[in-house]
Amino acid sequence: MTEILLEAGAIVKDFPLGRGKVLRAVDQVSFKLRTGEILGLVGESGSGKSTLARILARLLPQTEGAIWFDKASLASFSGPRFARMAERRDIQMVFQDPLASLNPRWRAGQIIGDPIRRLGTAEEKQKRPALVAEAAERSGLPAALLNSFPHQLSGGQRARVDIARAIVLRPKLLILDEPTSALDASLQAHVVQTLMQLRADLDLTYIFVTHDLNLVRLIADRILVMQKGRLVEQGPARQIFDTPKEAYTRELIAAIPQLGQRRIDRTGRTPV
Amino acid sequence: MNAMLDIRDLTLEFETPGGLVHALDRVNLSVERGECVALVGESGSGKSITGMSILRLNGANARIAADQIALDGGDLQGLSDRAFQTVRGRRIAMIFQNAKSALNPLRKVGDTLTDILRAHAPEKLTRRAARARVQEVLEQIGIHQAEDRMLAYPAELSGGMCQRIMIAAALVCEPELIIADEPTSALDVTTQAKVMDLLMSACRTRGVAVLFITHDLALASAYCDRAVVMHAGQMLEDGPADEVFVRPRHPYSRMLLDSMPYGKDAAEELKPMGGNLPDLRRDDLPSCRFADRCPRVQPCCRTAAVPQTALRDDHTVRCFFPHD
Repeated sequence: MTEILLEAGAIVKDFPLGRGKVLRAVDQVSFKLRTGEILGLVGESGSGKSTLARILARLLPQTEGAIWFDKASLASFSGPRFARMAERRDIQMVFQDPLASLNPRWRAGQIIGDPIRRLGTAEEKQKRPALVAEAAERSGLPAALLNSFPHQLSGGQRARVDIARAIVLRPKLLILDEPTSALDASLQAHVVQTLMQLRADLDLTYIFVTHDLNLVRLIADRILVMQKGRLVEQGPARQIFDTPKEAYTRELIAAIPQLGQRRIDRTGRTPV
Repeated sequence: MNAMLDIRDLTLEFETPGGLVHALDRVNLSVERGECVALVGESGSGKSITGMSILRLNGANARIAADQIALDGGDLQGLSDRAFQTVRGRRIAMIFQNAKSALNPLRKVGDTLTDILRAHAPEKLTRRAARARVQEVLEQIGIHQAEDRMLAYPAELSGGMCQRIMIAAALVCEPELIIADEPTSALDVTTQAKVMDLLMSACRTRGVAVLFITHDLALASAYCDRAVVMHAGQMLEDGPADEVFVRPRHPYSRMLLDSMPYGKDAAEELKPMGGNLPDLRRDDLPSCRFADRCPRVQPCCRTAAVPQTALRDDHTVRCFFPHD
């Protein structure tokens, strides 16, 4: 039995809507994440999966509930206070749309090295150029592009800058929020291959947030299915796809288009 | 009988400050009556501009040359821009990728739909008659409380609902052909399934032909009869969807499928495609623009004109060395 890296206990997130109303975006979500695991977090738009990911990355405070990371409680720390803690290095996030999340006025090398400047040890700060080059190489970003601005890079290259920035401090956990959804399918395979290699080389644990169920089926060990802020089902990836228990999970799986499976025939009906 | 849409040897170039961009190279494409054809390929393969070329939406710097672009047997190329207005929107409708940005944010969606119908309808319609017709179409495609929906602004509706409104906009003028350019790629999987089911069953029951532009091969195979694979502005394979997506014959089609998660069991089975699309500004593009990325490439692929080989009556491939 491998160790538990992260445990979430009954996480709740309410967003105030004004006039005393609240939107409960995440409702009583509990789960455990083992070291080395790839956890797929799936659900439709608005299911709360990105909000949960941001809470776990300590970019948003939860309203209620507890988070343990490496056996230490993170519950009361978020935002600026968390930024000064040792764990900030260990949990990193890769964002959905690199063009929106990368600073357009910084060069790739500066973006990748920024976590060292903010959180690195004196020794790391001294070795910054070498560490940046190494992270870029591991992420598949050619060294010649480290002087480029985000808008000068292709979508695939931008995704690699974001990944390099996330791994430069050698975190333990990477939270990936739709890292490949802005990419073409053929590029997606490249980025997925890089992520798999990184995990093997750097002993990473992944939380993979996505609505691409075809992809998550291939890469995740376990899957959490969210709907309207609640966790409706969790289990090993195979089991979720082959024998889903909940009606909602079945509906989600049935909606995935499959090669050679007709949904509407020439007469306009659904074939039986 | 004539095909609904029949394009022969469509070549398109763009004049840009950086030089001439050879965007499309002798594309052949046809859509039969009531047929749904998928146009697939990577970003930058020329799928969308093929659709735009049909509707003359490519802008002033585009240079089009084609043997024919025929709708129901009549060549559209001879039409003046004014005469073309009776084709665009009325006989051929287009559905764009991002419905939220395609709808006017300052107008109620019902007003937008009514304007579209009144602008394109062959007979003069009163506003009231047009509104009634719009409401009827919205109800036919299964939109609840259509009358209330028509009073909403785009920002008040979900992405899926906006896309349904765009489908209604396309259907309301009773077109013969709909060009749907990635109509659901901004939607998540459950909404995508609902919107696609709705679009395709509406087109099939009305006998409207569809050119469905997408990079999602599984989605194409779930709804289309035939598939056309494009790469760097060239059409490489054209055949029944069940054949092209299950037993692709062109090396590019095969590599495209190998790079996607469908039918695979582990991440290691994903085979990323090597190389990039060629720079279309080059004047020395190889005869087959896939040559630089192709595992089966031979010297003749770069120099000799690549034959369009018919493997069967309904399956052609543009390659010297197709798979068996």
